[in-house]
Amino acid sequence: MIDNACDWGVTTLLIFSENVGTLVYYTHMFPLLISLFLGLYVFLNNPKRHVNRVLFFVTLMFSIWVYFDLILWASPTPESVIFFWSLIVPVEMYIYLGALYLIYLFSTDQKDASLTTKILASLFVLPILLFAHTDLNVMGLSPDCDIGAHEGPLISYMYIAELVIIAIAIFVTARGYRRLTSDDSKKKLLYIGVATIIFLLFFSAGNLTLLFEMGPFYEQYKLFGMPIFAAVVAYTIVRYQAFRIKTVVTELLVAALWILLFSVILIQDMANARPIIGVTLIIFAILGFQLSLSVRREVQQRVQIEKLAEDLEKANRRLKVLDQMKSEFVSIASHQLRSPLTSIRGYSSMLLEGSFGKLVPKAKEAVERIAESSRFMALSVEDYLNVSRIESGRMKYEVSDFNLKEMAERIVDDVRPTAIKKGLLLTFKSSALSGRGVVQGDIGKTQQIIHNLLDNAIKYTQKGSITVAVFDNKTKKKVYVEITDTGVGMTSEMIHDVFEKFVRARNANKVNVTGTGLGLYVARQMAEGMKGSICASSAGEGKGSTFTLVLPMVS
Amino acid sequence: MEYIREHGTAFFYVALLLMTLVSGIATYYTIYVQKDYHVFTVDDFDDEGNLIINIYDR
Repeated sequence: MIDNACDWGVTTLLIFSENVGTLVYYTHMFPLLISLFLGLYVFLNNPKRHVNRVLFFVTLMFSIWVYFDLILWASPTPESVIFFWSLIVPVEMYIYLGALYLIYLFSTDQKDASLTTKILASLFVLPILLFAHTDLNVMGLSPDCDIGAHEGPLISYMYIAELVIIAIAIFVTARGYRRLTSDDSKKKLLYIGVATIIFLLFFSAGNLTLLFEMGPFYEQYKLFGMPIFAAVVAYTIVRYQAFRIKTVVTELLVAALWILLFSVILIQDMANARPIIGVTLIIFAILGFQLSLSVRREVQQRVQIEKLAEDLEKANRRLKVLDQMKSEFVSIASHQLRSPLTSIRGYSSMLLEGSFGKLVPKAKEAVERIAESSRFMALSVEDYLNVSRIESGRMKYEVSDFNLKEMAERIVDDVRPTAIKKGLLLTFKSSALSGRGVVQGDIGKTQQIIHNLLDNAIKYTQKGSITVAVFDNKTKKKVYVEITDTGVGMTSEMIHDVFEKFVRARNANKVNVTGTGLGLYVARQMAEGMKGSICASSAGEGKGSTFTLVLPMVS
Repeated sequence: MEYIREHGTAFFYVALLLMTLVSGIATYYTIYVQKDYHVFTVDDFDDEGNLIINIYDR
């Protein structure tokens, strides 16, 4: 045993020594930093994903390996050479096993391996763990300081095991590529698989140079696989969102420039420039961090907005389905209500007409109320059915030509007794009609609209008059039915809302409590279904209203 | 046993970690405490650099 086998100088942080050439630092520090950055970046972005953890493990083991290797280059004592040489062996085995695990996860679309597979794979490392402390691992310190240690049979075993693992990795990649169904997953596997295999091949090729005693110069190439691996992984992150990472370009750019600047510091010939580069490095680190942070924030916001839009679309689709279900429910329920209502109305009418004998006045009054209520209920049911038909697109229009002026006049005559009974003056007037008032539309539905508008006018007018005017506009090819009353009137806001579903004018309840808020909605939908329209105007509350039905004129 | 079956993978990882730690500690003990390592001399090798002594027989 000796204390100092070779004439090595003092080291800083175990790795910085004047005995180590600049090239060694370049070949080691660059892959070490890239590896650490890549692993940490992927891991911190999505630490819960298994595949991210595995990549982090591989890069961490690789970084430890590189650090240990630098220690071996700069080691000042024989103990540290033997110790770290022995430790580097299991670390190297873990790099290979981790890389194989990474490929496996990509080959199964991130489905984890079974425990049995993991135990079988760990058998590769078992002999190394058992005999790492013995002289089967490192036989002893070589008298040649450049060679360092003399490797035992356990290290030869490791070299062979590594080649076997590479062969398994190639097999797993090929098998996974054949089995995967999605193109995206196939491409991810191809890129990650090939990059990992290249990385391992570089490593093993470096080991072989030692085996054939080609000298330490060629061994430096073994770490070159890591930058290639990192570049391909970065590409798959950007191109295929591998490891589920959304932002990377800015971070990679900042990291690459930072690593480049840091590497320049290591060149010993540039001792004078080091302070300047050091300051630049610090400034760049701060600014780069801020830049990455702002880009990340923007990307997160964009992702959030995309998610919200997606949620909104889903909610919208669900609402449409619910709305359709509601319409169907209303339709079914209304049909069920209509049949008993017909009986009630029929029998109450027969009772009032005396078909079952004369009724005493009190009974007649009660039956009259039944008849009136059932009439209103039938109208409401009809409104619900109409809404249901309109919303489900099942409303049918039987379009034909008819005289709107004559129809309006007839309806006015029909409802006049009701108006007179309420003490209102109902008048009809028509200006000279160039097209004689013939329009195109559904006769039944037009009647329903005019009836509805006129009923409303009577309901909401306590005193005064109602005027129905029919006129046309030959230029616009339209015929107008204008119903003007001196009733409760509306504010401009109420005019805007009154055609909406279930909306009633604020003051409507004062004069009529039985409305459903569907009449005007149905009327407008029907008018529009016949290529016409309905509009309303009013000078304000208490100043009466005007409702105008417009239908296309037949020229 | 049921618990071990359910958490088999976690046990496996912990076992592997422990084995690695024990292996590392054993290496440290052998080299730094027992100072049980060989330092070869030039006489241990032939002209072509092959080891001519068998360290395992010592």
